[in-house]
Amino acid sequence: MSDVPSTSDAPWPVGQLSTKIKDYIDRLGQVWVDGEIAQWGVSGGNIYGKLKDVSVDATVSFVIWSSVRATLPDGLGQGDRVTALVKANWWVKGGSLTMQVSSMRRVGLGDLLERLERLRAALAAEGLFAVERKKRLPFLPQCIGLITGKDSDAEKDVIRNAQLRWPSVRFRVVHAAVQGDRAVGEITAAIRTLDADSEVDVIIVARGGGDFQNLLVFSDEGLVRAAAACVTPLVSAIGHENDRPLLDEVADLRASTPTDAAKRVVPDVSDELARVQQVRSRMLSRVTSTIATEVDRITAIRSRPALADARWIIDIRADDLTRSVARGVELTSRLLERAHLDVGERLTHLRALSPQRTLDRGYAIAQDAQGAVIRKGRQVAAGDLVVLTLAEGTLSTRAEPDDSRAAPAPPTRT
Amino acid sequence: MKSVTTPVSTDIETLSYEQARDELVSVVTELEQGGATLEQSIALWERGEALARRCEEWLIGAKARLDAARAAATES
Repeated sequence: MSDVPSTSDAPWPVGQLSTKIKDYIDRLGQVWVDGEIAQWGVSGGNIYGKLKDVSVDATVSFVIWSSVRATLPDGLGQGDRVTALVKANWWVKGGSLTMQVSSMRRVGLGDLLERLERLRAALAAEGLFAVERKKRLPFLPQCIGLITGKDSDAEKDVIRNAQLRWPSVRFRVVHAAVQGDRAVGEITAAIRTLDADSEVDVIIVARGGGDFQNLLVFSDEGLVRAAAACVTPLVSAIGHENDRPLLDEVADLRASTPTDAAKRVVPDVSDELARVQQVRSRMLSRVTSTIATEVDRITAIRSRPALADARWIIDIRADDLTRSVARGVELTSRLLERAHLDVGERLTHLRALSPQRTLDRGYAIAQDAQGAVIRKGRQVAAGDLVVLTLAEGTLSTRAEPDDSRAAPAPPTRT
Repeated sequence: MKSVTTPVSTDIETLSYEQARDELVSVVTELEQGGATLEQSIALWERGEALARRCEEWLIGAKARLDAARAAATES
């Protein structure tokens, strides 16, 4: 065997090529693979079949020799998810590649669950399920993107319930296989298509339940990542309570059934109208009562005496004035009265001091012509005028000569 | 005591309801306390009256708008 490069002048014989391929392939050795049996046929005691990838489009042929066949679990067949120990084998003579199986076992539910939980934990650690990532659904969607099986109950449920609530709701439906080997690819593509559609403002992925195996599609890492990357809010309505597919975790809203999805995505028109009406009447009554309160307040202020009748402003001053005048009159009259009394008192006093009383008792006051009081006889000469003041009236007389002039003139009685 | 010798003027037109109401309350309080001169008292009272009128206008207007809204709501 030479390692001479092939040229058009010196091509390799087919045998050399085939042998080289075998060399390459043999180097791979034995590997453990995970896949789904896509074809299973028994021929001459041996089993010939095909093993396909569970999510991407990849298939390999395999053969199980009769010697190995006896070690296989019972009832293995098409559709089973298996883990197998294989060795790639290039058949030089026929130019075909076959995986020679030396061990194969069914992947149990336990294994699948364990893998799913590992993936769940990994995606959760990445933060793909975080609440902060959840997008709000539009209040009233313009156009709902719906991914579901063709002619499925899920499709009917979503559309019927949505239209019951809001008759003019629009849908853009993308049919996709929801189970089987095409499901992951079709659903992933549908999510991308609808996400790219600017009219679609919410996407529902709906499937009317199914067993655990069937729902594994909705836990496929690629599909879940596509859903996480989706910008449009996404609702998962897979309808399986117990084994939550990972799509439920990553979706912005998880609906329990397709019907539930329709109800949560589309508001009930009569419900909403009733709510608006209720809020409106509450608002109205609130404003009405506020105004009523203010009206009462202003009325109360208005009726306060200070404002109700301004006459008080004048009245209290007029009263003051009246009172002042009255007081003035009173004070003045009291003053007058006191003055009057005073005068009377003084008059009495005056009278007590006057000689009238003495005159009344019979005494007289003698005065000369000049009005001087005559106290001594020698004050007057004979013939001088003497005026006598009596208790009533006066009397003029002339003095007689008298020897006893030195003697005081006796009081004269009248 | 705050001396409210503000003349009765057109500035009341520019007051909000709450401003007018609050000033009305303070005017009445001041009147009730007494102590103002006759001239001040009369001026205060006139301002109080104007403020009260303004408040009433506000409230009547608000009521009318409310009734109109209510009527429109029942029509629709």
